[in-house]
Amino acid sequence: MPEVHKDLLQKLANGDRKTIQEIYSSVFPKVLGYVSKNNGEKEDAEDIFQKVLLQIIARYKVKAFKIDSSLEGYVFSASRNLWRRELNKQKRIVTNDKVLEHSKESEDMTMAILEQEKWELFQEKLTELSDNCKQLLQLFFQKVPYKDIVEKLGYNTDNVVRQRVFNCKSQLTKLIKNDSRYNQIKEL
Amino acid sequence: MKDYPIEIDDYLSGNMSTSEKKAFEERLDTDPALAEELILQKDMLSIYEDQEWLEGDKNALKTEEAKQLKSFFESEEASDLKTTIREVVSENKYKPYNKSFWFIGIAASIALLITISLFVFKDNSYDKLYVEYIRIEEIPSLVTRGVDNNKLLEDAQLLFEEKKYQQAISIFTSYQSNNNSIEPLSYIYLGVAYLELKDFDNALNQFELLKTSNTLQSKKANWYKAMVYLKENKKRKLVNILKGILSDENNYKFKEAQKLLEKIDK
Repeated sequence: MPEVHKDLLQKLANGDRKTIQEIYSSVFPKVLGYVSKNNGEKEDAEDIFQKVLLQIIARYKVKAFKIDSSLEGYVFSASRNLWRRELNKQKRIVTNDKVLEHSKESEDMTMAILEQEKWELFQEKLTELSDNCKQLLQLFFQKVPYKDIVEKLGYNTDNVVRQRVFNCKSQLTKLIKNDSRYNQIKEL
Repeated sequence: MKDYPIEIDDYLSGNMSTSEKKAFEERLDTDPALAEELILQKDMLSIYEDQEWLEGDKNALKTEEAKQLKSFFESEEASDLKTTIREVVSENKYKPYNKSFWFIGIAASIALLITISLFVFKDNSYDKLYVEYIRIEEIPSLVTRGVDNNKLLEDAQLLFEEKKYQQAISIFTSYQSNNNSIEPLSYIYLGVAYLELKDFDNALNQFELLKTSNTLQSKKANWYKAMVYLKENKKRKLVNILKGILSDENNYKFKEAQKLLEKIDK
């Protein structure tokens, strides 16, 4: 991890106001943009932003935690995930009988981290594939029909694409399974 | 290379006949390894499709890492950090000017002082406005709505009407936690009960549930949220939400929102 990050994380974990302010200035507008585009209000964005910073601090304190990309990029992507999670939760609260099961906040925050870690593992493994596989799988996961993939990537037939998708997914599956973190989160 | 059974793809994409599907599901019951492979493939789809967030199983809370994280969140240190972050966030709300123009800063502080004094002065009038606009009698009755009147709700409404809010709250709360399909009006009743007792967070929570309930009553949520901010004296939030209501004249309480905004914006 670049020294700058380490230093920033350390300061953040100490509750250094200047650091928090810097992160706020550079990332919050983007978080606000994303949340407002997705049925949220400014208060929601603030809540998410605050929770994500606390998430990062918790991970930094509890175990070795590194950020490979920029801290700003990381905070934004984690905020986006947390807001998607919040939207899911709202949906579930309405359809189920869990309205007042205010499952303790600490538990919820912990679950959010475990889910985020799983997400990160999966994303990281995807980047380890060959460019060709990555491109193919990205189209596949976006539910682009096989026949369109044939045209886009210049394959011969649907069947070749199908076979190739399976191979790439196999590789990806293997990468995930071989990572020691996978066994820890399997129960998730 | 074959690192997972290819049938899983057919199963997940719906490319199986009814009998194949049945046979596959029977195998799942007896073959835990296959079941585990299926879960992984499902999770991969869900994460990489990047639509809905993939939620985890609460069993994961039993791991050592989870326990440590949880105890961190429960620590005083975490709560101090949370407060600090919140403070920084809210400082930014009132920082509209470029800091280098210090004289504007001073002007702003003076303006702020004036605003603060206005706020203090206006507190009373906010209370009066709340009383004027809350219109508790307009909340539709729970009792006459269906043939199958829910006894619990009847009782709760009665207590509510007698202004025994604390008791009403406990009945509505237990109603909501014990039922799968929740009468949306109960969010309004419970929310207003909390509001009357000045429990603003819980009140907002109910109106948020109302908003996301996707029922005919949902459209009322913003108005009730406005009532919370009004009673709470939160002018900025109140103005924002009223402006939201004014964005479409079909919105619930459009006219009232217009009048209220005029009164508080003076």
